[in-house]
Amino acid sequence: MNGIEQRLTSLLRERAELARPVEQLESVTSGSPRVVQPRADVRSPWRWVAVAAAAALIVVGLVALGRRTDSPAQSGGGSGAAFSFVTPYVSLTADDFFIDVGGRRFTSVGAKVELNSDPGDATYETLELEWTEHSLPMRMNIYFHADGTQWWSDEVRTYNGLADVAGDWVTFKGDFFRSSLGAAATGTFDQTATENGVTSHLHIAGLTLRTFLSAPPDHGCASTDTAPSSSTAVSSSTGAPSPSSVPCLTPSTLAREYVPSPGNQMLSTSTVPTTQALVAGGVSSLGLFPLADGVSAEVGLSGAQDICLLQRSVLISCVPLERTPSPAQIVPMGYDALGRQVIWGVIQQGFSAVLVAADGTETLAARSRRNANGLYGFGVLRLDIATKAKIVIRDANGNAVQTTDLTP
Amino acid sequence: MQIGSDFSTFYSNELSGQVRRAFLLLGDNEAANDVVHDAMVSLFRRWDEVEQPAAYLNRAVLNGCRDAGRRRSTSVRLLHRMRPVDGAAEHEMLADVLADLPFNQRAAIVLRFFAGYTTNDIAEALGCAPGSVGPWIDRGLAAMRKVL
Repeated sequence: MNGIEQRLTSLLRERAELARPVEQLESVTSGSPRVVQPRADVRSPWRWVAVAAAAALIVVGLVALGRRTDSPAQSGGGSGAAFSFVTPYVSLTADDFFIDVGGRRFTSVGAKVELNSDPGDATYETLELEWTEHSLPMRMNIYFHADGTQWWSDEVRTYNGLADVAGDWVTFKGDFFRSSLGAAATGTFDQTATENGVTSHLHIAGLTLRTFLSAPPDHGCASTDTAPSSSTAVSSSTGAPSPSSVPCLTPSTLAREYVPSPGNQMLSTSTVPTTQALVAGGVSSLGLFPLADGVSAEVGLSGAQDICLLQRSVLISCVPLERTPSPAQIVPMGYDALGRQVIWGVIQQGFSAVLVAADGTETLAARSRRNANGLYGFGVLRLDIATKAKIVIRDANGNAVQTTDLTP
Repeated sequence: MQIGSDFSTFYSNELSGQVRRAFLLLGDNEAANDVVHDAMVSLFRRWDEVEQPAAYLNRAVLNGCRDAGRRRSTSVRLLHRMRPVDGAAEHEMLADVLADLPFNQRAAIVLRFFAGYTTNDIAEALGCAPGSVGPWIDRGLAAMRKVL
C-alpha cells in the first residue's frame, strides 16, 4: 500500500469514528420497516424547511391529482386513467397510465398518491410517486439529468408488485424523454423491464413531461428569457435590485450564469425559492445558507470558495473569497427584497467579528472556532441601513485589528 | 435454530461496522442508521432462508446506500457544512470528495481502504465483475489525490 492509500485508510478510519450507531434491535425484530426515528434533538432550521417543503410537495401533489376521469383514454385495452402529477420541479400529465407487474395492473386510480421530487441540482432531479393498490405498495420513480442544453432520464423504476420481503424494484434503463432544456417531452412511454425474474410493463400514453422547472411563480422575479450575460457573474453589487426587474435563475440557468473565479469550479447548484440565501461554490462544496434577521449562516469553510448572494433564486452577486484574509475579509454583497444589507465575512481562526451600530451598540457577528482550514464564514443582515455602522474584527485579547465601515 | 439469540448476536456484531461504512458512504449518521436498520429488518424477516447473512447484509446496506444517495439533497450537505467539526479539516475534504464520487467508485474506495475487502469481495458486494473494481478504485484515488 503506498502513501496515499495509507493516508486514505487512516482518514477513513478516523472519519468513521464520527459515526454513531443507534441500537434498535427490538424494533428490528418486531418487524417495523422504519426503526430509526429522527432524533428529537436536531433543531436545525433546515430540518423544518425540509419538513415544510416536503409537506408542501405532498399537498401540491394531492391537489394536482385532478384526474380527468371524464374521458380517460384507453390504450391497448388498458384500464389506466388520465392523470396530472405536478411538483415545483417536474410536471407529468398523461392520458393513460398503468403498470402491469406481478400479475396485477396498477393504475393509481382512487389511491392516495404521495408525490415528491428531489430538487437535486442543475443536473439532477427526480419525480417520485408512491401509493397503495391491491393492498400492495407501489412506487414509480423517474430520475432526470440535464447537461445545460438537454434533459433526459436514464432510469425509471417501479416496484415489482410483490409483498414484504419479495418486494423490490424493477429498473428500466435507457435514454428516455430526451429533450431540449425548457421543452416538454411528449408521446408514449411503453417499456418492459425484467429484474430478478419479475417483469414490469410501464405504459404512459399521451404524456407531456416537463422537468427542471423554474421556481414557483410567487418568487418575484422576471422571466428567465431576460437573463443577463455571464460576464456579470462575478462582481460586487452595490445597489438594491428590484426583484421584478431581475431575471429568475433556474438551477440550470444559474449554472450557466455563474462564472467561477480561478481555481473554483461549479459542481452543483440549487435554489431556495422562498428565502434569501447565500451560496458558496467551491472546489468541493456548494451549499445554500438561509439568512434571517441579524446574524446567521455561520459556516466552516474548506477549500477556495466563491460566495454568492441569491434572493429567491435570483443571483445578485458573487465574490471570490480570500484564502488567507489578514485577518478578515468583509464583503458587502448587496440588498435583499426587504432592503436589508447583506454582508458576508470571513475571519481567521482566533478572531471575532462584531457589528457596531451608529449608537455604539455591539452585536457579536461571529467568533471563529477551530475548523477545517482555520477560516470561518458568517453572514450579517443589516436592516437599519440609513445609519452608519461598522464591522470590527477583534483578536483573542479583544483588541480591534480591522474595521470595515458600512455606509448608508 | 434459535433465531432470536443468533440474530441478536449477529446484529450486535455487525451493527457498528455497517453503520460506520454506511456513514462513510452517505456522510450522515441518521441516514446511515436508517439504511442499516432497514437492511437488518429485511434480513431478519428471511433469517431462516438466507445462507450467508453477512453477505446478504452487505449487499442490502450497499443497495440502501445507493438508493439513499440518489435522494441526497443539498440540505443534507448543508447540515454538515454548517457544523464544523474540531480538527476535521481533512475529514471534511475527504467527505466532500467522497460525496462527489459516483456511487460505485465511492463504495469501492470505502470497501477497499476502510473495510479491507479484496477485489473479489468488492465485486461480490457490489454485484459486478471483478474487472470493474480496479478502474473504479483508480478513478476514485485519482480524485482523492487532487485533495489529499
